[in-house]
Amino acid sequence: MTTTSTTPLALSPLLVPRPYEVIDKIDETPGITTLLVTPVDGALPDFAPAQVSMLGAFGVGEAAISISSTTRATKHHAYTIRRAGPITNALVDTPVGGQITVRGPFGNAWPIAQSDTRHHLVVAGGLGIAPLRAALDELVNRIERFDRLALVYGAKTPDDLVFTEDLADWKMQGLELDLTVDVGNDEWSGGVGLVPDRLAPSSNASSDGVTLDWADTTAFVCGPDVMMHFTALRLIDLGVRPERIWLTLERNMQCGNGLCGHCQLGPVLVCRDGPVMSYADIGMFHRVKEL
Amino acid sequence: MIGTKCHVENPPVCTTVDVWLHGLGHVWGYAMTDSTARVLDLAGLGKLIDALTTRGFDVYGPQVRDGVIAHDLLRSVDDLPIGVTDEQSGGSYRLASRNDDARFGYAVGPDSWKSLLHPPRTKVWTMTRSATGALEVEMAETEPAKRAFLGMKPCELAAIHKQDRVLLDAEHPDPSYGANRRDVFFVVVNCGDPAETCFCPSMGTGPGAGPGFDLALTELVDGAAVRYVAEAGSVLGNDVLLTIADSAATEADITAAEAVVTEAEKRITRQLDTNGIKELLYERLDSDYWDVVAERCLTCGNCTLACPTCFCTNLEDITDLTGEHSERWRVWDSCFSLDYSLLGPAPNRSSASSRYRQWLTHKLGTWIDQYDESGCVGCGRCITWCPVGIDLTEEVKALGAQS
Repeated sequence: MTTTSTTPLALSPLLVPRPYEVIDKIDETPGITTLLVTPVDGALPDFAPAQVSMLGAFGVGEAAISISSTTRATKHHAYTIRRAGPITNALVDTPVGGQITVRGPFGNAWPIAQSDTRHHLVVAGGLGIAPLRAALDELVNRIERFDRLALVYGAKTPDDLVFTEDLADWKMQGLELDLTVDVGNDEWSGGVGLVPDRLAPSSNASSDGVTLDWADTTAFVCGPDVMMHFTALRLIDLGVRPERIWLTLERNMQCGNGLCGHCQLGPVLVCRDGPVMSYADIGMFHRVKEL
Repeated sequence: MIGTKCHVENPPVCTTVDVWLHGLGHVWGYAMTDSTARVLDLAGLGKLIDALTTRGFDVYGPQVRDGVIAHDLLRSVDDLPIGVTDEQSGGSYRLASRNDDARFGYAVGPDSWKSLLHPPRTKVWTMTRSATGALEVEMAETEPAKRAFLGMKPCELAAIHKQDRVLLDAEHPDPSYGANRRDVFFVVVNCGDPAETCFCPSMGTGPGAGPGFDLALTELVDGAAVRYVAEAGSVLGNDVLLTIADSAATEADITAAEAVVTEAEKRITRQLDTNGIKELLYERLDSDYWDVVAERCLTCGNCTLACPTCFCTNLEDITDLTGEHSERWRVWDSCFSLDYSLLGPAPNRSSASSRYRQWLTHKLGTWIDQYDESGCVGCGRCITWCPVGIDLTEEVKALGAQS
């Protein structure tokens, strides 16, 4: 029971945790699991690609997790979670049929409709692919809008790549796929090395990696801070305009409503103003260590 | 102007948080029939406490507690600190006697009024897990509290307006703060006794009160005799004033009251140059000088607890022994704690210099981008209550001198 009747300001539903049932679990890699969840009561809320929810494990706490399902999935949301501590462990250990709580979705979206360049690049590092999955799905669905659509996706090892069925599907539909790992194995035929190093100058079209018309390219980038930093610098070096480089930021999100202060990155409250920001706006702060 | 949004449906027309906050009799800024300044003697001040109590307010005011000026329930004028002042400097605070019977003859103590509006611990919700694993959520009650804050200094009123902007003028306002904040009656006392650590003129928050009070008093002290020049800032304030004071202030009273504020301002020597301060701090994000401050900073977080505008909170879950009930509590947090900036398993701001930089740059710089105003009111608490006396005004000067 909520007590909105005695609350002078209407209580935002985003402040109230809502029970969701885990309807399925998919083990993606050792340590990464996708939960499919649906509200116990009422309708599944709409979301936009890149939005984040606060997932709660009873008695343990909440963690900010991006929605990794596509906007076409209307019966459930997916959250792809890495075991990183007590909260994420408890979330992942919730059995099918068990309940978690969800607040959200929070934040803004990848500017998919606004992308007006001929070429479009998506760069994912590690689990940074999760908040990009819905965006990739929408981009591939409108692939005729672009002359070229490319994804550079890096992981530690081939076994750490997730959503491999989607990757194959998107590739069939025309996505140029460039996979790279830190350490390969005998069967590995993709790249080995860091994500920024897969991005090559237009004048060097024969090189290994991805070469686009960088002056006419929009980029969506998601991954660890250091990966996004060097990717953005590389893209600017190649000639991509900073306002066309979009990062999705991660900070210690707690309240999700801009009230608790934790997710600040310079002037930005990530939950309120982000998570998606253009490098033109956030670069001068994102580049600063420990900011 | 505080807000642009309002979620109150009755009264029916409501366009800003200001109107919501002041919509139940507190409206300020429209013509009042009789808003002449009036004079109260000490008995009149007692009548004010009684009048507010009769109207259903719990009246809080400054009192001596544990060697400091703190806020507590006020039953009579005798509870106020009589003939007491505070001596403050970097890392030092002590009470001292005055040679008169002033009731408001000090600057500010360590406790700000945020303890009442945005308490250190607030229950957010209770959750129950049934035997089948089904979860049920019950949000905590947020009953509006009807309180009067008597004896707040102008910088403290300004601080509350800054917290209003953060916690109420948000897309999803904080319901607990909203309930605590809605019916507060503000009795400001213009500051006649700034401390050595004060710099409110630099921040435009004092020593005279800005808008937003219900009543503003200026204490006129003559040995054991005290009188108060009172002006109303709201309809309710005016109503209350008319019931307790029938004598209008004379020209001489008003001149004396103005002199209290102008003399106080002359005694404030500490300054913060706010011109271009945001740009300066942004240019200094990479400065080595943060390491110099960090050699002194203990990262204890005292400044954030004492600061009347620091609003950051942490969310904590606790479970009872049955494992069936869980509670979420919101507790004050500090950007000086390591857990504050956890990014995955490790803090993003592990160095002391990065944490001091976050605090200072937020308070004086990024706050301007976030909320269109500075986060500082110049009350000097962070200087006084810093165990090693770090003075943000000096640190900003030093940063400005760096290339």
